[in-house]
Amino acid sequence: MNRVELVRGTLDVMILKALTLAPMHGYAVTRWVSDATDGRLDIVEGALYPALHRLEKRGLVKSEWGVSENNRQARFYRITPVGRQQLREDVSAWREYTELLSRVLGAVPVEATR
Amino acid sequence: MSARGAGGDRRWRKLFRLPEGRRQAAVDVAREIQHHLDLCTNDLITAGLSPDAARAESRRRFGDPEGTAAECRTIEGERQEHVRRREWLQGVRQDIGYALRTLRRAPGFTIAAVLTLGLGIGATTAMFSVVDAVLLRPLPFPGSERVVALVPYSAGVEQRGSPALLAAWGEQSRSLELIAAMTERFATILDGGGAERIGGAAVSGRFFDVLALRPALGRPLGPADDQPGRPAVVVLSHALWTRTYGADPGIVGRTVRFDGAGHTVIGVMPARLDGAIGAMDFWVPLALPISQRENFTPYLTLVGRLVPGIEATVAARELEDLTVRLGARAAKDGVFPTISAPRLHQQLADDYSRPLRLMLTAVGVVLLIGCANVAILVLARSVGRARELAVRASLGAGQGRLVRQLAVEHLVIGALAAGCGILVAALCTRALISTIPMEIPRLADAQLDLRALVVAATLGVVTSLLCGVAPLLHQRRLPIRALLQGGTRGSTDHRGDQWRRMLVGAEVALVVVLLTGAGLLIRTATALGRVDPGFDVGGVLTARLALPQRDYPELNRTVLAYDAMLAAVRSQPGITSAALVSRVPLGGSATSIDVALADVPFSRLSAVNAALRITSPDYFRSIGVPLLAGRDLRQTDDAGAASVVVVNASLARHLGGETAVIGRRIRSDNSAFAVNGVPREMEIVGVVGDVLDGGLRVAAQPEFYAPLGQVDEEPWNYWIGREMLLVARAGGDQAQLAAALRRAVASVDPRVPLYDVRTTGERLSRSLAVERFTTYLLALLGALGLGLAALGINGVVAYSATQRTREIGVRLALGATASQAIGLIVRQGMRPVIIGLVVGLGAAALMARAVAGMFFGVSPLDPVSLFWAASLLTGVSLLACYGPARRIARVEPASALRSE
Repeated sequence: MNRVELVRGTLDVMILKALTLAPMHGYAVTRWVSDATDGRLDIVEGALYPALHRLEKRGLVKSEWGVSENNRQARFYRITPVGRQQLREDVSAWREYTELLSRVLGAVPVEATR
Repeated sequence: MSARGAGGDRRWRKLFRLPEGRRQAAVDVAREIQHHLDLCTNDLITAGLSPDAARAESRRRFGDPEGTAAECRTIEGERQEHVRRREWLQGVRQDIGYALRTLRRAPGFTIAAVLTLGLGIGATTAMFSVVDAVLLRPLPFPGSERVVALVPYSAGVEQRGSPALLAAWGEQSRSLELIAAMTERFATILDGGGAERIGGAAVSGRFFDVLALRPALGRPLGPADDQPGRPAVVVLSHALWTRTYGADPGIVGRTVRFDGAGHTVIGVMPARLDGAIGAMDFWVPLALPISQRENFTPYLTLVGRLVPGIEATVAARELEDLTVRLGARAAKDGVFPTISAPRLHQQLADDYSRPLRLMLTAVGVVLLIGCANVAILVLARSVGRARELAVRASLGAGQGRLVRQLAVEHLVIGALAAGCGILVAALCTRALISTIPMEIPRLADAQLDLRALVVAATLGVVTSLLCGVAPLLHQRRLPIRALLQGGTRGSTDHRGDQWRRMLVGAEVALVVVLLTGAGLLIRTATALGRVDPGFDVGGVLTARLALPQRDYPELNRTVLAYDAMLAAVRSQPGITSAALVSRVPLGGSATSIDVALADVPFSRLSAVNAALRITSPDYFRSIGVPLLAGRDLRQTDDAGAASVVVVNASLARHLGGETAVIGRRIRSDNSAFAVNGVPREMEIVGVVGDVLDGGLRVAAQPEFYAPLGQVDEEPWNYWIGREMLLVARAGGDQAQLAAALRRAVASVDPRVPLYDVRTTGERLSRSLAVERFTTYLLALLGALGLGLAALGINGVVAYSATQRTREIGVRLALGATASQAIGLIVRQGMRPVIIGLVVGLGAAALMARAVAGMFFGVSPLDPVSLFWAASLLTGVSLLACYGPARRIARVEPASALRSE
């Protein structure tokens, strides 16, 4: 099973995407990303929590303490309307970027077209 | 576990929008990461690892939990800071909204407070912008703070500088980089359609370098231009260039005619220099001949540029030493002058500095009185609002929050007042510029600029907080419970009463100072009105005229032309007498020389420094100066006849007595009064009354009058600038008289314009204009302050009388008469007034001593002024107390008793 390195700048958009499904705590976000990619993409925890706090500072997510599945106090993050808007913009930007990237990478050598 | 408790606590804090602490943030981050590690460990155990291995693996996967926690804590701290700031701003916005609603509910209070403060701020700002433009702002050229005027003082009297001082200082001074001289010049130009007489300056070679002046067009005058015999060149002011030469960009190199003589234009100065150093329209080279280096006659204005880092006082001491080294000739009456080196812009505005500062202070005092009034209003209102504040406090608003709300409320008033003040200032500044006598340099530059706006805004903040929050400080601990229970009128307001009395006392004291100042100025004006200037200030018409140097190069031709003009003037109908004089009375400082009796050895002890006036015959009769002894100058006292002079009474007294000096001869060591190096002896043929020259406050100086036909070229060319004044006395209409003078002069030479046509009375008024303006303004401000104080006293007495309604009712019911009740209230109201009056009289005495130089003919402790200030204030205060007192005393005892 190949492990894929996370491309820079994609962590925020993945966190926001995860939080559109339900409010989650940090561990649940890593689990969701791992599940959604069949375990091929792992988020580094050392980057996850600063990213979550930074998103909260920017007002894209909001945190509150709640009870987790194992009946313990956990910090849950919820996406805000501003966060959803940001996610929409990020997603379309990423779509365009990946499409252009694959077009570039799929280009046929010039000689071959002659 | 404490976690739940902490969570509960957090929920409460959230409810009250209180920021979470940093410590809480650290705990939260640690718990969040621990939670992550725990879940991860559990999953790994489920996957089959041993608990220890699972713990180790989860930590390994996390990487660096401590580092991550630290990073999160930092971010969290920043976020909290953000939230706090936002909430604070929201709070302030709420407070502003609340304040606006509160103020709208009390429109009377709001309008009174905003108008009182706004008018005060506006007037103060306008006055500031004038003071700023005239006194504070540096001159508009680089390094102008190093440019100083070099003013010799002899026996405390300001003198001019001499060519010898210019040469000696210029060569030897180490503390001044450069020194230059200038002297007033006038010229007639015909280029503007019709003859125009314009004023300018003849300047020495380094003048433009001293002031660091750079022309907008062409080049400045330099040392190379400043040589006798060089082609005539001129630098024009921007104003003259646009007014007369149509702002012609090709003017440099063109020849313009000044007094009929062609001058090549070499430069045009920038617009910002217009009026900055006096109304000067042109600059020409002074071009002193080398022989003038030995001339100690003071007729030049000297300016210098300090070496960077050198104090002006140091430079002044150096110049004094250099002057002493020049020897006895540099002394006057045997005493060497002291040198003062004020900044040039201060020297230019010197005459106006004290009046302007006094006016600014007076306006500021009125603003303070306004503040006291608003503070009284705030106090009266605060009693009504105490319950509202108490309710808010009992609902959980902290003291700090309440103080902030009050501060915001008054800052809103301050902002409204500042806005109102800026409008008032915009109007006042224009009004001041057009009302203040126009001779003040740079006055027209006064404007509502950024500096003035900052002053207005600052005044808004300071005054509103001063009168809004300060009086409420005694409520630091609000008696909440007592207030909520109600029925506490009077008892809780004891401290408020003290404040009110203090405010009344303070404003009364300020008003007394204002009124005393106004009184002293009015008494000064009266005293000045009684001063005899020594000449007739009625229907004597004076006009300036000058014969162009090109057409009248020699003095004898000039004298002939003047004689012809005088004859023409005298032949006009209605003219009873006419004469020419080199300087009008009250004409300011003159060139003076040392003279002594010819039969005693000329020494510093025998010599008297005397000013020179050059006149035609019949001058004394024309201007109304009495001839005390001897005879007037005659037409026959010409170049060919024996030298004669007329002396004034002061000089006669110095020389031996008013009648004793007739027939005696005087001489001077000045080269202009020598023939081939031998002093010319001049016989005293007459003695005339003293005439005031330096304004009505300055005693007459020794002076002698020499006939026009007997003066040398030097005094004619340099000392008086080849210009004379025509003085004519007539019975008829002034406008017709002016026309008759013009006709007469034109009949001799149509190219000679007559200008600055005024009666002697007008000249006297002009010399008093600033003084009169200061007096009027201070009297107006005194009246305004008195009115404000009356309003304040009235408000306080009305308030306390209302508070005492029930007590008065009881007294009336028990048989007290209405006048007893009135007396009671008036006595109570007048107590702070009397205290304020006593304090104010003391302060007024101190003030008057500090600015004693502004007064004349009246002691700074003038009992009349103090008496009038005190009685005016007492009378008005009694009236202000009596009104509300009578209202209360008229109340029916029964209804008074029912009032709460």
